[in-house]
Amino acid sequence: MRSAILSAALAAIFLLAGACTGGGSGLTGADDDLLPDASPSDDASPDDATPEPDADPAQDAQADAPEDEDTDEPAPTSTLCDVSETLFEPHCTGCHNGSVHPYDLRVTGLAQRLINAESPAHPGQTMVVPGQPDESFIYQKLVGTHSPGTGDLMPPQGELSEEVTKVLREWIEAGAQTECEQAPEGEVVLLGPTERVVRASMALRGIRPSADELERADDLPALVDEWLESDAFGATIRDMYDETLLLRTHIGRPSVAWKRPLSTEGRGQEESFINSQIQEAPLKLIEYIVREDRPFTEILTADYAIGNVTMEGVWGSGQEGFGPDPIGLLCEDDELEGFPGWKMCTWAESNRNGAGVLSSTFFYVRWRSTMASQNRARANAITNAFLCYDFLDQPVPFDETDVDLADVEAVANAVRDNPACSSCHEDLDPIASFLYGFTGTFRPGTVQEYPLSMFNARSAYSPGRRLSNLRTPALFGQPGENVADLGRMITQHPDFAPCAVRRMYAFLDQRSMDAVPEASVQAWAQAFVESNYNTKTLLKQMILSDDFMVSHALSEDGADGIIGLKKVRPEQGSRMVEAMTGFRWMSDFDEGRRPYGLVNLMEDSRFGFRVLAGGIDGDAVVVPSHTYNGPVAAVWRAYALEAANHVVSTDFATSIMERRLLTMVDEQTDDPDTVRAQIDALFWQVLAEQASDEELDAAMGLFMSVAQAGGRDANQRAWTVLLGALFQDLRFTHY
Amino acid sequence: MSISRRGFLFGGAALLGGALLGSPFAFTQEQTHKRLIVLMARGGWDPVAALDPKDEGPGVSMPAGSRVRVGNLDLYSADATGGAVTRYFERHGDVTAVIRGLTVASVAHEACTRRILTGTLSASSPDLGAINAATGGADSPLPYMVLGASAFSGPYSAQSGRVGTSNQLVTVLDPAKAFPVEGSVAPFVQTQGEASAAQAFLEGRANRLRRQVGHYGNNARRIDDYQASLASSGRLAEFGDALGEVTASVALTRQVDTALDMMERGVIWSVTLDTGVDWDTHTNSHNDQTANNIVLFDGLSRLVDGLKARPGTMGGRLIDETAVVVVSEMGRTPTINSDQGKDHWQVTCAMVIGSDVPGGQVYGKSTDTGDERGVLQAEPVDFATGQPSSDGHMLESTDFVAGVLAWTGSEPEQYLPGAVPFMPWVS
Repeated sequence: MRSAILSAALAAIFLLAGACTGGGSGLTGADDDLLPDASPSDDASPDDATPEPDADPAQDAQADAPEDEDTDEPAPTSTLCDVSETLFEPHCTGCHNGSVHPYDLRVTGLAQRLINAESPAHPGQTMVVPGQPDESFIYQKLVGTHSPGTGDLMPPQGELSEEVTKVLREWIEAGAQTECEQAPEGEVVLLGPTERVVRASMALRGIRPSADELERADDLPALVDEWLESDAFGATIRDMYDETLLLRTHIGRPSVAWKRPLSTEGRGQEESFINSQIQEAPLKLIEYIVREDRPFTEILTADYAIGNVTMEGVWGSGQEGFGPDPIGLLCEDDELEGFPGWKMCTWAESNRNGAGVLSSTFFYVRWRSTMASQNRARANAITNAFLCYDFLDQPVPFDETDVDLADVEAVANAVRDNPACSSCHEDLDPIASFLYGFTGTFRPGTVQEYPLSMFNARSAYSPGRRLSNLRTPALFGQPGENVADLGRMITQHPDFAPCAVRRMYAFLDQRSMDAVPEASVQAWAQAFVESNYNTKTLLKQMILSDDFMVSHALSEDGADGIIGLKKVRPEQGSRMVEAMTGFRWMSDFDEGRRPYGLVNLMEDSRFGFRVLAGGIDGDAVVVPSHTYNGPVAAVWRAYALEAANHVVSTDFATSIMERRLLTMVDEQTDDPDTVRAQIDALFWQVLAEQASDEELDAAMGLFMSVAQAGGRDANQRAWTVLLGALFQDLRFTHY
Repeated sequence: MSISRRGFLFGGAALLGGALLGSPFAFTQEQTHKRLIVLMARGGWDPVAALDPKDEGPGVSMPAGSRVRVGNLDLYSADATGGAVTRYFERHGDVTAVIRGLTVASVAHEACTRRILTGTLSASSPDLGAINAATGGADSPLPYMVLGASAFSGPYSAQSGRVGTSNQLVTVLDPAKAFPVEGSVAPFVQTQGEASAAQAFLEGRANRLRRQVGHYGNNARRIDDYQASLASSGRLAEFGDALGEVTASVALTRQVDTALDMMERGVIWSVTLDTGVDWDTHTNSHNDQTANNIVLFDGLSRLVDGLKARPGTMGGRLIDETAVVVVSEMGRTPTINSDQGKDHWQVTCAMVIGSDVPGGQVYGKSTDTGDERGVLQAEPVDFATGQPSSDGHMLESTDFVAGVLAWTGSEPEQYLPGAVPFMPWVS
């Protein structure tokens, strides 16, 4: 199968028409090569890494830097980068670059293609056997010890010198380590215990730790275990896979701009509500699988769906459809425990269940297909999401194809017979063939009544339809019949676990997938498989790893590949502020505008600020931005002041015992010591920070500048301004 | 003016921050840098329906209408456009040139969009507007404003900003326009003094964090961006009125007015607009492309009217310091499919507009009806003259983007090494 993927990288993609996602704004993560070893660790750094102001960061960090580890292992004499620079780049990649020859020896992803990987051209031959160069096919091919019938000595221009092949031999002998270089020890500083609790809590829940949780900073693994059972963790999982599947689309062509409410009675059936249910359902399935400790592979193999009454209304609940089967969802009567409002269901149509999210109707609404595309764009969306393989990464050499795209018959023949086209389409098109049965483009403007069906059981697997792109269903050469087969085969593909791992860590660490260290990917992927795809176990390893808990670098060189500060995503911000203040930034768009409904402004991208705050909209903006700009700051300022206003007005209207944040003062308190003590407490509650005198002086200064201006409700204004500032603080908007 | 490669890649935000904070690294734009407006027809327009006409014939289906000549330009005027194309060129052909035979080497929307806007296949590469803003206008309150849909800010996220699909940015800049919040009587509005005090507090906090963890790398950049954004959001609020009101959808005419207002007042440096209509016409192509062309050319006319009429920031008119590029990520098949639609095509066209553009010129060429190579195929072109030449090269999107970068004062080699800038309209 690997060879199939590699050959797919070759060339032409003629007919990926119809998936009409535009571009996106993005921020690329930095290089990854210098990150420390990715081995999971439960050890917390002994000290808080935050030095005092004006301290010399280099000096302060010495005490916090990881201790040198003694080792008896000799250092590798060659690294993978040495091999690439000395051997592959000068002698091999002229042809082995994924284009001229499909077997790609360029450095990106090279370890995956070499180590314990089967030769694509010669099944049974292992490219690199760590520790055993003489058993490694690629070494044999270079020194001429390969078996008869396995091709010529490489490179064809002549045998390489021993000096060159020795680099490869030494690298393999040393265990074929995947990293190119080790990070210089002492170059980075890890977070201290309190900061670790904050980062782990935010990453897993989007909620800052409570005061009680902060007191348990020395027992972070136990806290993590508790957080992994929370509803907020489930929301994080949904956020994570929305960035992969791009399902929450409030705008643009793939959106479901519902023209008709489910019923005319009362509120709660508007567009935003219906969207929030049907778009969320596939994500809810993933959440269910993760939270219930089911193997992660079930996201593509589950023979059940998670649904609710809204989905039954939209997609049907067993009514007559186009074909012989009823349509829609068949749900149990009772709600799922721990998932209020959601039920265990199955899809009514035959030939459709058993593929997890690939059975879900909304997946095909979001990833539409035209007649010309014939599900190819959907197929690419699937391989990209679950195998991290994007057929679109390759340019199409139209000038080499001599095919008239306007001639339907010529195109149909070319994707099968023209080498420049078929080298890619021979893999892509059979995947698309699994998807027949799901109709093409859903047009919200044509909705006249519910239920709707995107699946036609009658045509689903009729040979004529299925073969209309001239290829029978198969995943990289492995044949199958239906979407359940497709889902199962993807989960069995060697790239499934590494891809999932890469996506999860990229999300958590806010780096691009390409920048996740290959060694970490391989280590975590192996552990993921060995745990029977237990996602909680995996995420716990990631969260507690030193890689994730890096605070900062001590030099510019050491900073390469280090992320450090992470910006709060808009969805996290929504949960974080609500948990801390009880405030939800909700606005109703039914009156005077259009019947859109009540929306959370940090989570909606049509009228809300999800994109302006750095999030995605699943359509034009498909990569989040993890830094600040003017609109981000403007959104956070407005949000912070609304939340602060809410806290001040509700806390001062409540008894001390029931207050959230202002627990030491009332509206009239003007005793400086009491005010200062309250501010001190707020620094801990809001920022998890033990404020220094300097910090308290600055905060007191802000408070007093407003309070002493006088006027009505001066103290209330002062607390609102101060709290608003804390809610905009770098330590609050980043972690 | 040039900055280092590292500055290009990572320093934009620092430069912005430095400029706003009075850093000695602050710089002012020079005449060599033109502002840039990119107008995107998202979905893939039909070249033959307006800018690259062909004769109806084998392999070519044209909407009802006729070929027209406006000055030197051979165009197509579909009857249902009511003369929108002709009107535009009669009015602004003096500053508009047409690019034909532009290849994007793919027929997938994502890949083509990246290519036509960034010149690369990478979604992490900055697009024309982002580069233009970073190198020419980093000291603007919002250097790169995204009014349209497709945009790639790459490493310049801190200098880029969207207004939202409903123009909702105005609601956080102007409290009077804030959305009513459930359970809240009225938004809390800080006085100027309170806002200044709060900002000073936040600046101090950021400085402290920088001393602790923000000397290097990503941490330093994020703190730079944060501090610069505190200031720029305040400056944006001063110009919130130029953004208008919240609306269900931001039509091209509204985008044009906003862009012109913001440019004239020096709030933004570059901007990306979107026609706001769907050009991906796999069905009913003739009718939909024709309707879209009315939106496009009427909106474009409004834009160029404004650029010619409004004062620039350096003495002349906005048109003197601004380049406009009109693109679509791909073309459409010359023939109609069974649904009366047209599918994706790897050859497209474009327009470049500016006071230094020789009006009424065509650069590049695609094959005509009856050509043995098929119609609407790219022909080789002499990059110096822009005219077809058997000794020339195919005009690829990378070269076109590189040409626009060079035209507007950026250094294409920094972003698109190896590309040959195509800019024959620059004398």
